[in-house]
Order: sequence, then C-alpha cells, then structure tokens
Amino acid sequence: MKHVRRALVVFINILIILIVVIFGIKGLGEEVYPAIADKLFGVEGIYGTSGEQKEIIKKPVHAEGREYCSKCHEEIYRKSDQGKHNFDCQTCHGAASDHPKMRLKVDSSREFCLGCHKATIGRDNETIRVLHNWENHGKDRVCTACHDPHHPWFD
Amino acid sequence: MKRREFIKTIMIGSLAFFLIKPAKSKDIFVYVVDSKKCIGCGSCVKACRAENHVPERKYRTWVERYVVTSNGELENIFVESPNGGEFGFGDLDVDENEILRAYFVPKLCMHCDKPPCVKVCPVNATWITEEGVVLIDKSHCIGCKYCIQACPYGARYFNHHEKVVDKCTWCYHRIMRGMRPACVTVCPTGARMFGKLQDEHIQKTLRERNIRILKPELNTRPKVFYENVGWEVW
Amino acid sequence: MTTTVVEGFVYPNHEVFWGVLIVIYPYFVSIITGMVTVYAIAEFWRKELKDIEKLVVISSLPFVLSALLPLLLDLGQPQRAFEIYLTPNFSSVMAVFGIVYLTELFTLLGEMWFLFRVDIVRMAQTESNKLLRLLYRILTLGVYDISEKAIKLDKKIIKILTGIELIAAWCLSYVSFLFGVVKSNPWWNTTILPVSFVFGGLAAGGAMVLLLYLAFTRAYGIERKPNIISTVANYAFYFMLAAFALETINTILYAYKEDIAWAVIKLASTELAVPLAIQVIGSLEALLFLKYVCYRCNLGKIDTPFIAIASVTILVVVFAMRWNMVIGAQLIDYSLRGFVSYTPPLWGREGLIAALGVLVAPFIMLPVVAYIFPPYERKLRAGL
Repeated sequence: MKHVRRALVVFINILIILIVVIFGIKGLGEEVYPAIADKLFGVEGIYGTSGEQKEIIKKPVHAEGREYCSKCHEEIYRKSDQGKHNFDCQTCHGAASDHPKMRLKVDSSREFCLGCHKATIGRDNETIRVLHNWENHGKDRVCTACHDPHHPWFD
Repeated sequence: MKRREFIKTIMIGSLAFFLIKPAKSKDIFVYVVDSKKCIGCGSCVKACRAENHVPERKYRTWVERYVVTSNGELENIFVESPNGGEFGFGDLDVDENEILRAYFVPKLCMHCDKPPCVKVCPVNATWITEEGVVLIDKSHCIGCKYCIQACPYGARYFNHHEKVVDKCTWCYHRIMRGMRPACVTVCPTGARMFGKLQDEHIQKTLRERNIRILKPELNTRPKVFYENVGWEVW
Repeated sequence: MTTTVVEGFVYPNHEVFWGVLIVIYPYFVSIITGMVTVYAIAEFWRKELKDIEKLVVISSLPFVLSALLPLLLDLGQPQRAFEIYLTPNFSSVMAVFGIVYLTELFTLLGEMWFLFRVDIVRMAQTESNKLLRLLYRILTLGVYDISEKAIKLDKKIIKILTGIELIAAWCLSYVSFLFGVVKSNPWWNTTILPVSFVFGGLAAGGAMVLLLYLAFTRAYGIERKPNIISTVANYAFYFMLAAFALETINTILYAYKEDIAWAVIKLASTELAVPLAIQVIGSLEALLFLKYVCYRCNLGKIDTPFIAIASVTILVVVFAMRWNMVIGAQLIDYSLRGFVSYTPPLWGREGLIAALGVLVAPFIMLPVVAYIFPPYERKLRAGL
C-alpha cells in the first residue's frame, strides 16, 4: 500500500508542478510568455493576443486615398474627378507612403495603359473602353502623346 | 482561485467546441465583389503586396479568370490565375465564338462568421474580432499550418521567412482608421466594395437577387459576397 | 520548391504544407496504438501473451517519446510549442492531442513502474553498477515491499492503468488523424477515415511487436513460443483485413458517389501510383503471409523469415497508407480543379534525412530503455 501511496504522491507532485508552471507563465501576462522561448532562440516580436489586435491597428498606412493627394495636387484632382479616370491616384502612381520625400514614378509605357485597356477575354466592354486594334492604334507612340492620362478623352 | 479559473476556461473551451462565437458587434464589415466590373488589371494584388509586405509568390488577394467555352458539347470550364493575376492576364488559345461567358473573380479571405481556421488553431493565435475580422497573432502562431489545411478558400499562406501563417486582414489597420482596404482603394472600376453591413451602398447590393457566397455547403458563412458570377465559381 | 503544379488550376497559395514528417507522426502514433492494444489483449484476454508483456511496454516508451519529434520539427516556431498547454483552444484537435498525449505518457510510465517494481526492488539490492543502483534505489521510492499482497495490488492497478492507456492510445490515434473534421479537404472529410486509421495502426503495432519479439528473443537467447507468434499474427491479420477493407470501401464509395472532388482525386492518384500499389499489393501479400505464419505456428513450427517478411510488409504498407492519406489529400487543391506533385527535399528540417533520423530515433532509444528495464532475465545476456 505504501508504494502506491508514494507513487501517487510523485504523480500528483508532477501534476502540480505542471499546473503551477502553466499558471505561473500565464500569470506573467500574455506579453511575456511567448517571448520567453523566442528570446532564447533570438526571435523578436510583439506578443499577446489582445495586444496584437492593437498592434495591427498601429501599422503604418502606405496607400493613402485620393483626398490625401488633393491637398497638393488639387488641379489634377479636379480634372480627373470629371472623367472616368476618377479612381484612386495610387492605382497608377503606386503607394504614396513617403511621397513628398520620395518622387513617385509612373510607368508611361504603352504596356502599362494596355494593362487595363487591351481587349482581353473576360474583360467587359461595358465596364472599360477596350482597344481591339491595340497593335496598330497609335503605333510606336506612347499613349500619353495624345491622351491626357488624367482625363484621356478629347472634348 | 486559479484552479477555478482553469476549470472555467476548460468549461468555456468545451462549450466553444460546439458554439463558435460569431461576431458580437452589430456593425460588422462586409465585402462585396462585382465580378462584372473586374477588368483583371491586377492593381489590387500589387497594392496589397505594397501595403502588407506580402512575400513573393504568396497572395492575400488574387484574381482568377473563368472562361467557359462550348463547342457543341456541354460547358468546358477553364480557370487560371497566372501569378495571382498580379501582372494581368495574357491571351488565350480559344476561339472567341466558342466562349459562352468569361469573367474575372477577385478572391481574398472570406472572413467567415464561422471560421474553420479559428476552430482548429491549437493555441488561439487566430481569432475573430468584434468587427467580424479574422486576425492572426504572428508572435503567437506556432506554425503548425493546421489552419491552412482547414481554410477551404485557400486564403491563408505560410510565410517562409517569418515561419508563421499569414492572411488577409481586410487591412485592419486601415479600416480601423476609417479608411478602406488597399485593394478596394485602388480598384479603378469599383469592382470591390467594402463597408459596414448597415451602409447604404452595401445594403443596396445585398438586396440584389444574384448575390452569392462561395462554398455555401460548408456552412462557413463568408462575409465576402459575389455579384454576377456563374455557378462554376467556388 | 517541393511542390509543383501538375495539372489544372490551383489556388496560388497552395503547397503541400505537411510533408513527410507529418506522415511519420501518425505512423508512430499508429504503432503506439497497436502495441498498447496488444498489451491490453495480453492483460485482459490472452494469458499466453503474458510472456511479452514487459517487452511490449518497454518498447512502446521510445515510440511515445519520439512521436513528438516529427511534430516539433514540422512546426514553424517549435520553441512556442508549449503554448498548446498555455493557451489551449479546446475546439482544436491538436490542442486536445497535448492532453491525450500526456495522459498516454503518464499511464505508460505508471504501468512500467508497477510492472517492473519487483525487478526494480530486486536490482536495487543486487546491482553492482553504482550509478544504476542509485537509479533503481530512487525508482523504488524507498519501498522495498514485494510481499504477495503488494504484488496483487500492483496487478490490480496495472489493469486499471491499462484500461486508461488503451482509451488514451485510441484517442491519440483518432486525434492524430482527426483531420477528418477538416471539412474543406474532400479526402479527409470522411467518417470512415479515423476507424480505418485505428485498424491500420493496430496491424502495424502487431507487426512491430512480432519483429521486436524476434529481435529480443534472439538478443536474450530465449526460445520462441509458437503460440505467442500465432496469437499476435492472428490479431494482426484481422486488423490488417479490417484496415484494408475499410480503405477499399472508402475508395469504392468515393468512386461510386462521383461527387465534384472525385474527378480530381482520380487524376491525383496517378501521382500516388507507387504508394497506392504498395498499399494494395502489400496488404494482400501481408495477409497471405500472416495466415501462413499462423498456420505453421499452430503446427508448432516457426518460420522466422516469413514472420519477418510479413511484419516488415505490414509496416511498409501502413506507412504507404499514411503517405496516401497525408500527402495524397494535400496534392488536391481546394479549388478541386487541379493537383500538385510533391517530392520531399533531401536536406533541411523537413527533408528526407531528418525524416530518416526521426524514423530511427525509437530504435536508438530502445536499447537504452531495455538496458535499464530488461524485459527478460539479464543473466542470459552474458551469452550474447
């Protein structure tokens, strides 16, 4: 009987240690415990389930809306607003994250415009003006030679 | 006290086995895709990559092209998504007259109301927020990839650099600032719509009859709705 | 890249996420289940298997320990593995695995202790190696009571522990493959899967016991008993038959139902031609050999090569079954329009070398365990 009792004591002790370890680490807070193991292995990060939700919110925004662009480029903003090219600036210009510091580049090649305007299977004519004879229309010239990209129709 | 809490978590946990908690808040976000307006330009994929630093060859959102042809026989369905549609779509070797219908379908995380991925995460590293957005805690994820297996829409990917699972968050950092997700912002034709369920433009489209969700038979209750897509999309 | 698109459309994020390591993990778990079940059969029903009781118990320990290895290697962030106990999500099968695994481990250790207690007490008094003697002394927990009454109590406790362990082992086998609840994968989304899984595991465990019996009897110079081999082989035969039948029924049902996933499963099975062939031909061969072994043993003759071939075949077949189940299901894309092919890399954490290491690990641990807890009289080892 004695040995059973002792074995039981050993088992319960192991169980208690396990539970104490679990709750001890849990008690340190969610910001700490995934980090313990990670720090041993040199992984860095921000920890905690509830914290992460807040951290994701803090992430920087790279692509601001067109209203943001209109603060400086109001003329272009108004011009494009009248036509069908009234979508967001960054669709063509790319994300504006560091824009005043970094110059934004825009691809003015034919291929770039044709990316949307080429006749492609699946592309709906009612949604977008597709170019069927794109190989010959304005051959060897960039589209912007004739069309203003911000308002590409001739009045 | 601690033990009581432990028992409590177990009880709640076992309850959660049967009841996955849906979004609590009333103004949950929904996403509507109008397939007819999508031109397959790929600017959404590019914007998403720039905004969220998605690694190469992984996609939080991608565009698929469905081409249904018939040459006397029953419909043939061809689906493709070269590079996730990031660089547009090329020509196809099909006879224009044989095409019954062809369209682009943007895909992304469905942010299901009953997410199978949240159900299988062993460490609670992924959860559904009050706004109905399914998020991942990358510093909590153990990288078991179980959630990827559970996602029927293929929306999750394994980030081989960070060794954790990642997915679309509907640009959670943007929408909580009152902005729209990057893919919605850059869409030139307005094929992607985003807003709260109560919003007028969302309500208007949700009242349409040809709205549908993908893989309804799995009862995941997605919050991404599709307009003008054929039966072959799932 | 270990994953390449073979045919049709595949979601751009699709990969074979669980590689060869996750094939090994359910394989080990299957073997554990089988060995524990053989032990339970010996404990509860077949008294003639009492001879191999200790052998089975000590050899399941290395498998239980090394079942964690492939999981840890497969995790993207293995250092966070303990989070399964810290923030468990009880609706996840994998979190339940953590608890079931601990139950299994503790019951197995307890069983070992009660089974070997008399030996431990004896060796604590007679062992000449000082270090070992200290170990045995600690293991006695200070009680040297080996009276008739105490041994009787031990046996009772072993019975209870075996019951718990059996349930835990079956749960482990189910849990290890409750991918069945992953509704998104048509190949895993079948009710028959966990059952066929357990039966395959039972057969593999039986085969492993047979192999180890051959090895240990040779190492300890003990005479082999035909009735032990015949009983275990008989069980392995019926378990194998059940596993084979269930897998076949599953496939036939799928083919007959012919739902949307079948077309792509049919195509993807060309990628699995070799393991599928192994599974079918090997099953039939193993069944044939096992029956022959039973027949010969009932006549009192032991054909060692046949036993070895039959056991190894079962082990290979069950491995092929796990491969088809784990890798095969992942070859199919969830778009159900295409499939990929998978070749495991040679090097790296998820490579073949690592997998081989994991496969060998229990056999490295086994001699150590057998040295501390010899299943048979140690004095015979001198003849080795």
